[in-house]
Amino acid sequence: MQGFLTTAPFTILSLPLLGTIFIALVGPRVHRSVSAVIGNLSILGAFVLTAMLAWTVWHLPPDAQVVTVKYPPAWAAHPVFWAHIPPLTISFEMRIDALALLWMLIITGVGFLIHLYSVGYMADSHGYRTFFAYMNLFVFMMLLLVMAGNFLWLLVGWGGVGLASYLLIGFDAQRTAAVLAARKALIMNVIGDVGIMVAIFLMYAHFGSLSYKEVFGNVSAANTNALDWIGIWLLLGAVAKSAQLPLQTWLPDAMEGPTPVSALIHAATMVTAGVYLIARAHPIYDHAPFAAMTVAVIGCATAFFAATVGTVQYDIKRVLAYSTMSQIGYMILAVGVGAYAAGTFHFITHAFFKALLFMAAGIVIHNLDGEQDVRKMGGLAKRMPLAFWTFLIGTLAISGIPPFAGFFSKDAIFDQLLTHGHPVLWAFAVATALLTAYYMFRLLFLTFLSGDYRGTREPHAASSTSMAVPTSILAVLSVIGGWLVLPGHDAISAKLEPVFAGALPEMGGINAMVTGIAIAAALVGIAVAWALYGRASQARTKLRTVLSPLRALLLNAYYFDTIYHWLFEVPALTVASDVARYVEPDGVGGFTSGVAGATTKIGDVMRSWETGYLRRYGLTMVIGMVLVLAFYLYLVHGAAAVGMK
Amino acid sequence: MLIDTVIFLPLLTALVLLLIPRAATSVQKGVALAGALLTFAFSLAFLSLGPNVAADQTIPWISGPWVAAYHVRVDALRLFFVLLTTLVSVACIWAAFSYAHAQRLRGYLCLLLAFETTLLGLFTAADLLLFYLYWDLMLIPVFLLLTGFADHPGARQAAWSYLIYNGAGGLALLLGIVALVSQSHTFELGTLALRLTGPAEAWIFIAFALAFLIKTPAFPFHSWMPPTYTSAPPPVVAMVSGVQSKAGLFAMLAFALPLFPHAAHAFALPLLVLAVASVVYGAIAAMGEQDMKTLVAFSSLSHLGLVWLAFFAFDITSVSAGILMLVSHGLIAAALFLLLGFIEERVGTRDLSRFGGLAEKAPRLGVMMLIAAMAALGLPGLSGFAGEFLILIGSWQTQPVFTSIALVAVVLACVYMLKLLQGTMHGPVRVPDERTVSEMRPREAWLLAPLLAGIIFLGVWPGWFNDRTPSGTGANTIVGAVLAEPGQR
Repeated sequence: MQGFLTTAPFTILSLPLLGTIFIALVGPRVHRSVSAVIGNLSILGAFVLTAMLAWTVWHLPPDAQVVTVKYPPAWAAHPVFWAHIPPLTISFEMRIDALALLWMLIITGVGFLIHLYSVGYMADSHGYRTFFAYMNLFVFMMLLLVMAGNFLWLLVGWGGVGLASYLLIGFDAQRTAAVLAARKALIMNVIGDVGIMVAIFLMYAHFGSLSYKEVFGNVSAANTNALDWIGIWLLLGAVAKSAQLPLQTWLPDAMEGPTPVSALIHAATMVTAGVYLIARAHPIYDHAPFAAMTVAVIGCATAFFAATVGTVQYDIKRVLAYSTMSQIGYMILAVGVGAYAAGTFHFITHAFFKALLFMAAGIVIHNLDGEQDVRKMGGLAKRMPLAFWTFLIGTLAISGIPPFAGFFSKDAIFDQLLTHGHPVLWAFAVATALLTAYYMFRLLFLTFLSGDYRGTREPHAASSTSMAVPTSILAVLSVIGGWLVLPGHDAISAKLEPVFAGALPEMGGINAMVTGIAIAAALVGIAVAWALYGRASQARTKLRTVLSPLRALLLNAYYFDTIYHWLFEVPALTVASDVARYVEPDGVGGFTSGVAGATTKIGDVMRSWETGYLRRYGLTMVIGMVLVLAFYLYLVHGAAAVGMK
Repeated sequence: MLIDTVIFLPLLTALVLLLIPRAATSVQKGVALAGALLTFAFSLAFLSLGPNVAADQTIPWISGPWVAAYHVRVDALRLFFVLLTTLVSVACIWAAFSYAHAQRLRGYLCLLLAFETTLLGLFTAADLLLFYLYWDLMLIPVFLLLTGFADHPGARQAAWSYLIYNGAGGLALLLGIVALVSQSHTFELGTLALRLTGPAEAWIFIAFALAFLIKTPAFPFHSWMPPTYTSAPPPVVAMVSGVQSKAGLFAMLAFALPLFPHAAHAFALPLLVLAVASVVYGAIAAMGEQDMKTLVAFSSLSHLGLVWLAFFAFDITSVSAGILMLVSHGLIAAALFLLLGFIEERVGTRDLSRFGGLAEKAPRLGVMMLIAAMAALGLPGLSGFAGEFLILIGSWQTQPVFTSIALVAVVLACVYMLKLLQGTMHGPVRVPDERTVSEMRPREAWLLAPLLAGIIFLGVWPGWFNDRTPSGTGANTIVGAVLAEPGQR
């Protein structure tokens, strides 16, 4: 038992990494399908092992359910550390508990389904092998992030998923838009990395360690002010990674990546790392009320902000990107107010239905040869029934219609917002739910219903089995995934109990009024979407004219990109190019140029020496050495002679 | 004996090369590479020394009135500088095979090997006189390589700029040493235990620091660097930036800080200012640069500025991590400059606006460039991050303000390194003059592989490095001596 607990985490981690290495080294020499098979099998293997590990851990007594796997073990004669500059010691350390396990299950489980989907989706790509190598690398880094036992390894995984995300957004490297989007994503993520670094520096200053165990164990002894700062800096990392205000602008652009990438990295897993981070660092936030409140407010603001922007977009993947941002806003809001189980629950259901939505959208895009503009779609329900029905299930789930998955997790968040005493945040959350139902059904109508097909390209008919199967599985999960938490039966909180030391209020109780308002809001949203987009409508054109200033604001996502461009990008690049072009050569370098100019004449004399014969150079070297020696001896003895000694 | 072998084997190889006819280039290549490889193989033996044992050899040289000895030493502080030199030299000498003028290849290889010996001599010298000799001898091969073997039109002017600047630094160092020895009457570091005080210590420290600031270089003494790095042939610039640029900071730790503790603490503030100025200024200049070699040159300025910060933060973690950063930067800078050499060979220009998208034509080049650039921008898991992170976590504890400013450069590093990576490798394929871009040749890939392997290894397990360098444990007194409050000594 103990053996399995220590070996399984390493095996789970190494499988995707070995997959990457194998594809990179052997892949080019064998048939491309080998890379796909290896990529899929390694993730499937990791999933099976994770399930076994979870089963094992959850059968331990509750107080033994937090497993720390640490290298070096305490008895090691020659301990091995990641860094060892006493007093700073950083171990190779993993922490396997329910929080990590839930994330691992989703990463490997949904990750495997998306790998499977990619077999068909990427079939025409000439970078087929590279794609699977990158995807495996991503899964490895993401697992590292959630399995880490100290903040250093969390940061390594954190940076690593940033790299994988960068590589996959810019996967189609020939397209300038993809290259620019990749750059933007990495730069914003590095800003977040710096945030986590500062938080780590502060933790080291206050706790003398980076290990979860040491830091969280001593939290109650630290002062609130310090913890608030640590919490705020950690939040910067979370905000950048999870595309929350004000570092959200990279996510819509990240949709330049292939659709499976958007599903896995920019919907189901990586972008939720911020939620994981805050849930993981819960002892800090529990003792840092200001930081926790900031987390909640940012999450709530992002949820609402992104939902408003989503109402007017026409690019099917961009709408889904804004909805991801908005749903992660819910999760951040939940963990910010201390509803850790509800946030985790929403992460799980969101992984199901958002991956499903991207996959269904991917089928549409694939069959339309890459078309993403919903204005050129319409009436596709009959032509792509699988895509339509699965998209419908995903839409119902995200809109919070019972009994689909999203209903339960959203309801848990709404409920806990009120029980924790945040009516204002709750009001915004409900308004967001209304908007969510509206823009998702608007998207559904525009794509699949709403009259006839408006595009010019003739859609392909069928989709491949490798795409259909995982999509269907996720559709089922998007229906039943929410049943993990039913009245009187709360699987999530029960599992998470040992991690959060009993600080979790029970989910699953149905408060009739709260639930009723949430469902009513969703239904209103759907009704409005139906009225405006369900069929040909005059009201739509009228509204568009009346609300045109607001619409422009939303179409441009509140002009964040423009503002950042003029506020940061332009000044920074102007200063930089001025430094490189003027300051450096004329200012700092001016002095040398003067000196060098004066010596050009000497250079002219010397030119006659450069005859290209080594003898001459050898001679020069010898003369030089002699001169240096002579000069030196002269100075030493000269100095002595003038009595400096 | 082992030390002598390692130091002089490259020079011996160079002398053997002179016996080979000028036309027999393939023999010359074989001999030069074999010499470099053997040197590296021998230097690996120092790894078996263990953290608290030094290989030490002293031959009496001058007995009076000033005592000097031929004293060489490989200890925990010097070990990795020696290994870095021998490893980077192998890559650079191998890379030099593609030198365009077969007629002059012999001289080129000779000078590179001679340069390696001067570098090894510098890093092993434990006697100030010996150290100073190598310090100035180092200039000669670089100067000759620049004036005689570079095709770049600006190389001659760069060579003079290099020589004058570094010569001035050498002069400052010489004056400092003279003043020091006039008081101590010995060049032997072991017996240089005198404790100077007052203005004498301050002035001598300033002289030393000036020489080191120029050699590294640090802002504002860096103006010799961009022209030198830009116009030197890739193997030369890889050795200069990869190895020689470490000389100043190495000497700061090995000589200046233990000798002048009071002055070092007294002048910490101005040096910290220069350090952070280098970090930020280098990053900004790199961001605005269109010439890819100049861009990497400025990134070096920025990264080495971080090591100045590390040393003068006087925190045990940051000082020890500074050594890691130096070695890591040596590997990264050498790899980057060699890669840029391969690129320039293929597209015939260094101007980022004139080409791009090479990864499409040369995917392996793309992957290697990716690793090197990611290491330089500080991606966690690669050596650049390990050095940077450990420096900053240490310096934060004593100098949070300077550390915060330096952190800005972490983000800027991402901007300029992506400019380099994406500008060369990604986007639509653009190549000037209908040139054909070929995939990396096996030689190019193999000579880079050890550097990249080192970058990955040190990033995954810097603790291995920590345990073999001065990190405050055991008998490694250097870091401890640096850190001790001067008053308590």
